[in-house]
Amino acid sequence: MTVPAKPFDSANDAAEVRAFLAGDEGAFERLVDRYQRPILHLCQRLLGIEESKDLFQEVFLQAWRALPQLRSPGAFRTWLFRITIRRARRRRLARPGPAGLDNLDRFTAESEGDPIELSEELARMRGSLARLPERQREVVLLRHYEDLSFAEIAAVLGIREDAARANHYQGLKRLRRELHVDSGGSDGSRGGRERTDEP
Amino acid sequence: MNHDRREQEETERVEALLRADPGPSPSELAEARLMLKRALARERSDGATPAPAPLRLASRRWLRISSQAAGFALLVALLAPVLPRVLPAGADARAPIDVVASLAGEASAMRARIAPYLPSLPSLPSFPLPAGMTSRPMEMRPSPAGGLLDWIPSLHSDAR
Repeated sequence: MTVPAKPFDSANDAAEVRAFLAGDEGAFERLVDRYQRPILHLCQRLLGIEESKDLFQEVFLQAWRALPQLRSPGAFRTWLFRITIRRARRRRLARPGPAGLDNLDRFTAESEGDPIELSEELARMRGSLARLPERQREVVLLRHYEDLSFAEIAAVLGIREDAARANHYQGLKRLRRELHVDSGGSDGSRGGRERTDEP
Repeated sequence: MNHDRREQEETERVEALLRADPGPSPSELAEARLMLKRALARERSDGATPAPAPLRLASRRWLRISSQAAGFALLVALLAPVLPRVLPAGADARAPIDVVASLAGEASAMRARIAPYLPSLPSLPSFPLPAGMTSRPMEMRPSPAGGLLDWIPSLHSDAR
């Protein structure tokens, strides 16, 4: 079901980055091998299934071009996530229509790998995630999907660590409320699908 | 108390759901990877190569030094024409020469600062001194003292 996260090894990343800078193109392929799953997953949750492959491609192309400018090769992982977040924001802003308005079908659509018994609950959860304000969604995704620490999240998003914690708390609270309401919780209403909570 | 417990349980449920998201399927990954492979091949065939970092750093440093030099040249160019006008009417005739000498001193100090970064520079042209002046070092006026910065307040002072 859940793919176990590979242990993160910054020294290994740094070695591959240095090998690439020394002219070993295969080192970049190995970095893509290592990060393709988390990056594509993040792209899917940030922009939806349709646009995720384009974003994935943009992220790694940008990384390939800009890798020589990476000052600390050991920070490759957070750098790559930063590129992903920025590119996703840019794409969201470039969309026609009201800024930040997401078509929820993009997010609740089943992925080919989704187990059947989970699909309904997963779709609800993905829909709720898509309705979170951008910053809260980014923090929740980086924390729960990518296993980043709050310090790393703060570095990726360019915010303070306590702000990352606060956004995480607010994001989970909102998800909790939405899922509770969606599943027919205490207030009995099933609202919120049409609402957009972007600030 | 009961409320806290329920909240905790709900949070755990949300976290469990987030963990249960299986992520992209192997076929989605394969497709995305194929697209990336093609894009990278296109990029390489276009001749785009990541520039080596040291070259970029060197060019950045060169850019900084040349912008400083350009700024200084602009300052000199702006100040030189107005100096004779702003000096008091009865001022010593050599005053503008002293100012120019101060500027030249600043320029040579700056040149000494940036010289290690420059590959090679042609020697500065020499100009003949006006008739009646010797080649011995000029005496600076005691007041205002020394550098260009000390001159600026006197240039902008208002006798009123």
